[in-house]
Amino acid sequence: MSEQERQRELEQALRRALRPADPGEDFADRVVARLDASAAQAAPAAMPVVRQSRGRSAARWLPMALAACAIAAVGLGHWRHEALQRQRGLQARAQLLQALRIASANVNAVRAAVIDEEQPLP
Amino acid sequence: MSVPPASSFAMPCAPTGERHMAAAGGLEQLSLARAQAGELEAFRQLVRAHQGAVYSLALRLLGVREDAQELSQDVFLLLHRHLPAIVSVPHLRFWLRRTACHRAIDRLRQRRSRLVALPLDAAAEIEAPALDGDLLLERRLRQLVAQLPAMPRAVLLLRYQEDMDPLQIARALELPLNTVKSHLRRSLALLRRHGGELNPADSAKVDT
Repeated sequence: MSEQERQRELEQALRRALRPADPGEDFADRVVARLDASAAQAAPAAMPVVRQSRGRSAARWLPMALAACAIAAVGLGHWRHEALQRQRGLQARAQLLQALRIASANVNAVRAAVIDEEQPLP
Repeated sequence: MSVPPASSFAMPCAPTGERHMAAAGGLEQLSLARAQAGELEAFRQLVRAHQGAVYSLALRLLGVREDAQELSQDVFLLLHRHLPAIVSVPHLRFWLRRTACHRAIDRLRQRRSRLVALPLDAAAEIEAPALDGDLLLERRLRQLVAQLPAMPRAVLLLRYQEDMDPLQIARALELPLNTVKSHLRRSLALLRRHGGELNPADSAKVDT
């Protein structure tokens, strides 16, 4: 028998030896049953998990959000108070400068009058 | 697991004179479309059409019936999730065989750490009774195939159980084509060398 014939014979024997095995008549039913079971498990379990996680996350985040709001409100109030103080300071400075300018003008006028009076007439 | 591109799975032309096969392919295509639309009965038909191939691959790779049953059921459950991505019956056939092989090889790797060996008797009694041919030789061949390492065994099973060509096997197992050819050549040489010993009691551990 030639090499090729022996090879062909071996391949035929392999094909015969490796015929598909039967997993059982109810195999497809078992697959579909598992499919149904997994679908049934997934459907009702999904809702409470979502609700529970939402509830839990809300309970966890609400105090933190309130604290953040309180800190922001205090900070904003402090910033507004500072701004108001700064504005008042600027107004006071402007008034003081104005007063000094007026006082200076008056002093200059008095000084000029005094000098005029002190100087002898030609 | 990723789905291979649809371009590789054009429906092959049926040879003339094989009308019944073409009709069966058409029916299967219809079942696929109906299963994709959500019909459970159509999915059941797809499972029936491919359960033998998937189960046989799993059984001959894992060697334990319970594991093979579980793995092949897992493969079909996975298929149900991947149905929208399946474009044709050849694609479906390829996907199932590829997924079964990959999952079985993964499981074998996990099992290797626990050093669980394939029982030879279990491997020998896997089969349906042979209708013709040399029963002893077939049994001996099954024993020898069962002793091959996982990857050459997967290559051999896809070639001679599933009748896939080396290129398809290379795609399915994500191996270079030359590696597939090399596995086939070496495995056949080994089977030829040991297959002649028809006494099953002589089944020594095969070196590869």
